[in-house]
Amino acid sequence: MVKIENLYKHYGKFVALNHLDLSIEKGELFGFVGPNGAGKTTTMRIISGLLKADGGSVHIAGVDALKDNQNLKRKIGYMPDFFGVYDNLKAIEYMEFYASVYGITGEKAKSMCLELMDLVNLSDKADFYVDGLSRGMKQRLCLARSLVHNPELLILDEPASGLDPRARFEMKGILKNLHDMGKTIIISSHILSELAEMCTTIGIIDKGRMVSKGTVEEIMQKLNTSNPLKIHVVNNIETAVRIIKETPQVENLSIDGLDITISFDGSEEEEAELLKMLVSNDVPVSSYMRETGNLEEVFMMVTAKKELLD
Amino acid sequence: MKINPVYGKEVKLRVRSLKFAMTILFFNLGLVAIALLGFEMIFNINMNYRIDYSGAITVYFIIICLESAMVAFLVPVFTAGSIAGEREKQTLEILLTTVLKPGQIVIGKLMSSISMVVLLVFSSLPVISIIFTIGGINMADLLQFVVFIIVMSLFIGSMGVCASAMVKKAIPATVISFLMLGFVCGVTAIAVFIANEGANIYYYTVQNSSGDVPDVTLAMYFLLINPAFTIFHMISGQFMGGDMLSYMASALNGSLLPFVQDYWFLCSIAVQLILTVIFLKLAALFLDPLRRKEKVRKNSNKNKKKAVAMLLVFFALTIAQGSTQMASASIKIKELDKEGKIKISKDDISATVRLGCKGKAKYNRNIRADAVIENKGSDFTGKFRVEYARTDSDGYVAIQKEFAVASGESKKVQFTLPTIAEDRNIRVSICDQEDDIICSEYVNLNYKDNIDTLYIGTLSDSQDSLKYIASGLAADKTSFAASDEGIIFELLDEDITEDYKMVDILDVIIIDNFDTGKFSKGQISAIKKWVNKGGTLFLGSGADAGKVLDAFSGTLLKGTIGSAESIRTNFGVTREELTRLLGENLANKRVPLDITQISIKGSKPVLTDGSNKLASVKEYGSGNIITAEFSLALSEEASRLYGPVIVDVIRNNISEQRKQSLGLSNGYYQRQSYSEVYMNESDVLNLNSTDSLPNLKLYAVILLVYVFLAGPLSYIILKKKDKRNLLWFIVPVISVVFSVTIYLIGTSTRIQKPFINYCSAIELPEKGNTRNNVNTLFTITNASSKAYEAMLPKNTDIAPSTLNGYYSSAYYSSNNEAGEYDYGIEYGANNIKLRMNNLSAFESVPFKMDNKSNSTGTVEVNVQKTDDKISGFLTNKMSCGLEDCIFYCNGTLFYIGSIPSGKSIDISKQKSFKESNYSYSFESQLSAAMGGSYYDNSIDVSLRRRIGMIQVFISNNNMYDTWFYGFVPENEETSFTDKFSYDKYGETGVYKQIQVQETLNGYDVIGLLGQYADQFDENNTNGFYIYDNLAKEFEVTYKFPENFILNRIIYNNEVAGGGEFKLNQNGYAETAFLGVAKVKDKTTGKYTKLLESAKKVDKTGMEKYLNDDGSLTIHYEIDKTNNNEVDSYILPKVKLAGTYKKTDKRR
Repeated sequence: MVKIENLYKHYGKFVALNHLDLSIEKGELFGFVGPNGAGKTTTMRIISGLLKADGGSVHIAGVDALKDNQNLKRKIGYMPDFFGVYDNLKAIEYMEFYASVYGITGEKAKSMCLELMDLVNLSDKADFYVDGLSRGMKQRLCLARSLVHNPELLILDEPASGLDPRARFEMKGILKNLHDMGKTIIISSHILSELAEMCTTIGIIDKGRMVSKGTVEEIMQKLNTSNPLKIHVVNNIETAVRIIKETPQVENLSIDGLDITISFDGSEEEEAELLKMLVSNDVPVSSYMRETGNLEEVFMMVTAKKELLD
Repeated sequence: MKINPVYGKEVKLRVRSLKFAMTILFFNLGLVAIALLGFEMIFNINMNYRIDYSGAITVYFIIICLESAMVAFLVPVFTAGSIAGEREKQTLEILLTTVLKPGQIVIGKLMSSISMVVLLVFSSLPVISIIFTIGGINMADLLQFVVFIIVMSLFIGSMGVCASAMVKKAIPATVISFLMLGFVCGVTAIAVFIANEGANIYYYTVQNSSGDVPDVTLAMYFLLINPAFTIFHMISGQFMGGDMLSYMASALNGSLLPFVQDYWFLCSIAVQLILTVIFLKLAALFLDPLRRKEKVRKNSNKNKKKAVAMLLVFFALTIAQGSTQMASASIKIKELDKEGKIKISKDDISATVRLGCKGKAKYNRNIRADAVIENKGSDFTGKFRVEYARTDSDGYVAIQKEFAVASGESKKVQFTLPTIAEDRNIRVSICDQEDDIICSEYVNLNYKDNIDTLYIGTLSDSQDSLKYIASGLAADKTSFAASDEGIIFELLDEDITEDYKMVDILDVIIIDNFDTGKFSKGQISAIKKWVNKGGTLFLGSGADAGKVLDAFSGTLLKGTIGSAESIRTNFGVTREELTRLLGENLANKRVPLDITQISIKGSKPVLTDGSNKLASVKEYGSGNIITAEFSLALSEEASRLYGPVIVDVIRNNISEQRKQSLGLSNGYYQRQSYSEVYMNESDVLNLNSTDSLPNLKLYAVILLVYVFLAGPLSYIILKKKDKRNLLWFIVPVISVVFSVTIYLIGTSTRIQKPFINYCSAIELPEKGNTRNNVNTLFTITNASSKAYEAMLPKNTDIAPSTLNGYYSSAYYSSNNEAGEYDYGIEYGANNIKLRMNNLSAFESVPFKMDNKSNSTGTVEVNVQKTDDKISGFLTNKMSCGLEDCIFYCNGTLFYIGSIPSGKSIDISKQKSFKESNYSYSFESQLSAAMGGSYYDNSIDVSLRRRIGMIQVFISNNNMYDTWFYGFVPENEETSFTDKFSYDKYGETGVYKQIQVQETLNGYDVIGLLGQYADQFDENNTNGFYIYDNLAKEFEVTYKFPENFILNRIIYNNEVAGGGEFKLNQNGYAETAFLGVAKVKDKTTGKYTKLLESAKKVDKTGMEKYLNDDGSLTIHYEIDKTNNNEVDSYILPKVKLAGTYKKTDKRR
C-alpha cells in the first residue's frame, strides 16, 4: 500500500529525512514512532502531498505520490497534528462541506456524513457548532472528516496528542474499528506504548532514518534483546568490569557503585556464558537480569546517543 | 453547474447572521439618504431659483463613486484575509489535502470574498435607478457600471487573494494588497504625469524648445490597468460626453491607437481581467504546496527580471517613439498676416483662410471667415471649419460649411462667426466629408483696443486713392473723441455678400468710383439690411454720380441727380480749422473738384463750402447714409489738405447706434433713472417648471419599502423557512424588480429627448403692418451625453451664441487643444445642422436665431407727459393679443396686463408704480407690477420667465427711458418654435422704445443734460473713477437742439434716480456728483453756483447763462477730498426745459 524508498528531505542544512525507506502493507495499522523532530510529520506531510520531497519515491496504492498529487488525494485521508475548524459551522455542515469538496452533495452527503459521525461516536453532536466541541470531539470529527471520500489510506498525525485518557481510549477504539473495516492506517506518535497496544506494525524513526520496523512482537523481541543487562555484584567489581569489557557482545557499559548496566548484543546463551565467566572468576553476582517490558526506556535506549565507556 | 465548494460554504456562512440583512439595510439607507437629499437639494425650490438637471447626474455620479470607493476599500480587506485567515486558523492544510486544486481554492475564496460587496452594489441598483426619473443616464450606462464594478471587484480581489496566498498573516496580506492597489491606481497616474512633465523638460532642455514636444502617449496605456481611471473615463463618457482620452493624449503630445481610443472601457476591463487571471494563477502557485517555495521563488526572480526588462523596454520605446514620431504638439498659435490671412495645406488641398477685419474682431459683431480652397488633386468634397474655445466650459464650438471643389479649381467658402470672447483660441481647418481634419492651424484674433476703433470698408476701383482716409484717421486724435484709430478694410465686390453679417463688423462702408450696377439684388439687399442695422454708408459720386448711386436709387435713396460741374472749393474749412486739423499752419487754398448736385429726400447737409452743398446725410433705420457730391478719390493736393475734413464728416455722421456700440455716445444719459439691473440671459433661458420633476415622496416610499424588503424582511421570512441561502438570489431579484419599477414610473418625468428653452424678442416698428423680425436666443439641452444633430432649413439665420459675453469671465483655460468640438453648426448644401457632438448630459448650449414672425403689426403709443402727468393711449395693432404688458416712462411703471388685438388702452387708467416708492430699485418696482419676483419659485414659471426677460431687456438696453414691453400669448407666435420637434419652453416678448413729448408749465422738456454734451469724453461728460491725476476743474459745453432756448433746470431725487441724493455718513453717495457746477452769467460776467452735490435745484431764467449759440457751458469743480468713501463721481443728471424759437436762423 505504501512504499517509500530513499526519501530525502532537508530544510536548509538540516536533514529531516535521510534516505528513508518504508513499506506498509494493505490493511496494516502502522504506528510511526519517533522523538520530536525525527521526521514523522515530514514523512506524513510528504505522503499527503503537503510537502515536496527532495529525493526518493513514494508510491501509495500504486500512485506515484510525488507526481500524481491529484490521484493521491483521492486515496488518502489526512488528519494533521494541529488543525482548526471553521466558526459558525455545525458539525454536520462541517462534514458536508468536505463531502462537497469531493462532489458529494445533498441527501447522499448528509446520510453519509451522519454515518461517519456515528462511527466516531458524534451522531448526537450533528447540530452542534464545531467551535463549541471539545478537543477530543474535534479530533474525532476531523477523523470522520478525513473519511468522507472513503480513502484507502488514513494518515493520522498524532491523533491522540492533547487528549485526556478517556478520549484516548475512545480514539483507540475508533481506530481499531477502522482497522477492522480494512483501512490501512498510518498513525504517528512519540509514545510507543500507546501504539503498541493497537498497531499491527510499528516503525521507529530517528534522525530521518528508520531505526526499526516490524510487528509489535518483533519489535518487543528486538527491543528485549537490546535491553540493558543489569548486574549487581557484592564486591570485586574490577574483575567484573574487566571480564565484561573482554566480552565481545558488550557494546557499552555504565557503573553505578556496585551496579553495572551493559548493552549486550547477544543471545541468551551468550548471556549465560557471561554470567558463568563472572561467577567462575570469583565475582559474587547477586543480581543478573535483563530489564524487560518498559517500552519507553527501550525507546529511549534505541534513540538516545550511545555512550561508550572507555 | 457545480458550485465551487469553498464559495458555497462561505456564502452559506455569510448569509447566516442578521448582520447580512442589516448590512444591506444600512448601506442602502445611507444611499437613499444621499440620493433623496441630493435630489431635494437640486430640485428644492427654496434652495435654487432654477432647476439644474445636471445636478441629478451629479447625485448618480456621487453614488457610483461612493460604491466604487467602497469596493476599492472593502475588497482588499475581505480578500487579503481569505487565505491567510485559513492559514492562521489552521484549516488550510486540510483543504490542501483534499482534491481541491489550489486554483479552485483561490477562485472560491475570491468569489466568496467579493460576493458580499457585489451583492451590496447590486442591492443599490434601485437607489441608483432614481436617476431614471430625470434621465441623462440610460440602462446601458447602468449596466456598464455593473460590469465595471464586477470587473473591478475581481481585479482588486485577485490582488488581495494573491497577497493572501503569498504571506502567512492576514494583516500583512491586507497591507500588501493595498500597496498593490496603490500601485495600479497611483503609480500609473504618476507615470502619466511624469511622462508629461518629462516630455516638457526634454523639450525645453535637450531640444532647446525647437521642433515638437516628444510624444509620450505610451504612458497612457499604463492607465488601462487603473480601475480608478476606468471609472473616471466611464463617468466622463456617460456624463460629460467625454473626449477625455484625446485631450489627455494630446497633452502627452500624441494620440492613442484608434481602437484603444474608441474602446477604452472594453480594453481596460479586458486588460484588468487578464491581470486578474495572472494574479489568480500566481495565488494558486503560492498556495500549491508542491510548487510553493522553490518554483515560486525562482519564478518571482525570473518575473522580477522580466518585469524590469519589460519596463526598460517600455521606457526605451516611449523615448524612441517620442524622439522619432512627430506629433501634434501642444497648441502653437500662428499669427495671421496683415490681411488677417493664414494658409493651411496638406497634399493637394490648400486653403487661404481669412478671419475678421484684417484679423481683428469686435464686440457684439459677427466675424467674417472665409477660405479660398485650391485643389490640385482629384475632385474634393469637404468642409471648411472654424472652431473657437468656449467660455462657459472647456471645449470648442465649431462652425463649418460644406464645399465641393473640382480638380484643379479653387473655391471660396465663407460664413460668419458670432462674437467670440476675448483671448479665445481659434482653429481653422479643412476637413473631409467624414469630419476628419485634413489640415489645420490655431490662430488668434486681435482684440486689442478694438471696441472704440472705427472699422471702415472701402470699395473702389481705385482703392489707393482712398488711402488718405486711413492716414487721416491715424493722424488726428484730438477731434475724434475717444477713438484712437480706425482701420480701413479694402473690400472686393465679392466681400459684399448676400449675407449682411459678413460686413457686420464694419461701421462704415465707403463706396466710391465703383460700378454698383455689378451688385446683385441680394448684395443690394444685404447693404440695405446692414444700414438698417446701424451701418453708415458713405457714397461718393463726382462727375459720374450714377456709377455709384444708381444701384441704390429707389431702395436706399430717393431723390434726384442733377448736373455735374467743376468747382474750386476749400470744403468750407477756415484757416484756423485747417490748422487745427492738420496740426501745422497752412494757407487755406481752394482746390478744383468735380461735383454733381444731388438732392436726397429726407437728408440734411453735413458739408458745405458756403456756396456749394458738398455732402448730406440721411437716416435709414438705425443707420446713416452719407452722400458726397464729389468723388472721394481726391487729388493728391486736395487729399493732403482736406482729407481730414472728409474724415471728420465720417466721424461726425456715424449712426447713433454705432456710436453707442463704439462707446462714443452720451446716450447713456438719456435715461432719467432706475437702478442698474443685472440679469443673466442664461438664467432666464434655463428656467424650467417644477411640474415635470419627479415626486420625491413617492420614490422615498418605494425605496424605503425596497430597503426593508431586501434587508431584514426577506431575511426574517427566509430564516423561518430555513432557506437563508436563497437571499443571494432573492436580494438581486428584488433589486432588479424595484429598479425596473422605478424605471417604469420614472418614464413620466424622464427627459428622453433634447429640449429647448427660448426667449424670443420682437422689436416693434414705429408703424406698419409688416411681419416683424423675431430675435430668439435659445438653448438646446441634451437629454444624454450622446451626440445628435438637429436639422434646419437651409436659409435659417442661426448661429451659436455666447451667453456670458465678450469680456467673459473666461476662467476656462483656452490653452487646451481642440479635441473633438463640443457643438456647432454645419451649413450644408441643402440644410443647416446643429451638431451636438461632445456634450455632457443636460448641458445647455446657446444659439441665436433670427426669423420673421407669423404675427404682424405693432403697438402704437401716443403718450405725453404734461407737468409730470403721463397720459395717452396704447393701441395694439398686432394681429395677436398681448399679455403682461407694461409701459415705463421716466421712472413710472404702468402695469397694463392683456391688450386684445386692435384694442386701445388709456394709460392714465392703469395701475402705476413709481420708482420712488421702491427705493429706486427697478427690480422691486417690476416685481410689484408683475405680481412676483423672478426669484420667487412659488409663482408660475411662465411669469417668472417674463419678469426675467424684462430684466434682461433692461440690462441690455439701459439707456431706454421710455419703453413698452408685452408678451405674445402661448402658441400665438410659433415662427421659431415651429422649426424644432423638441419640447420647447419659453416666451416671446415684444418691445418698443418710445419718445415721449414732455412739457412742464408749457415748456418743452428735452431730457437730461448729459446727452447734450458737445463732444463725448468718457471722463468729462460721463464722469469717471476718481484718480489723483484727474482734473479737478473742467468745463463741458452742452449743445441743445436747434432753436431750443433753455429756460429751466431741475435737479432732484426723482430726476437723478435717487442714488445721488442718498448720502452716506461722509456726506456723499457711493456714486454721485461730487463738488459744484458753476455757470457764467453773461450779463455780469461772473460765475455763479448752479449745482451742488445732493442739493435740489429747480431754477428758471437759465437764458442768461447761455452762450451766444444757445449752448450752455458748465464749469465743474470736483471735490476729491473725500475719495476714500466714494468709488467714482458722475456728472449731475439735470432735467432741461425750455422753448423752441420760432425762427429759421441757425446758431
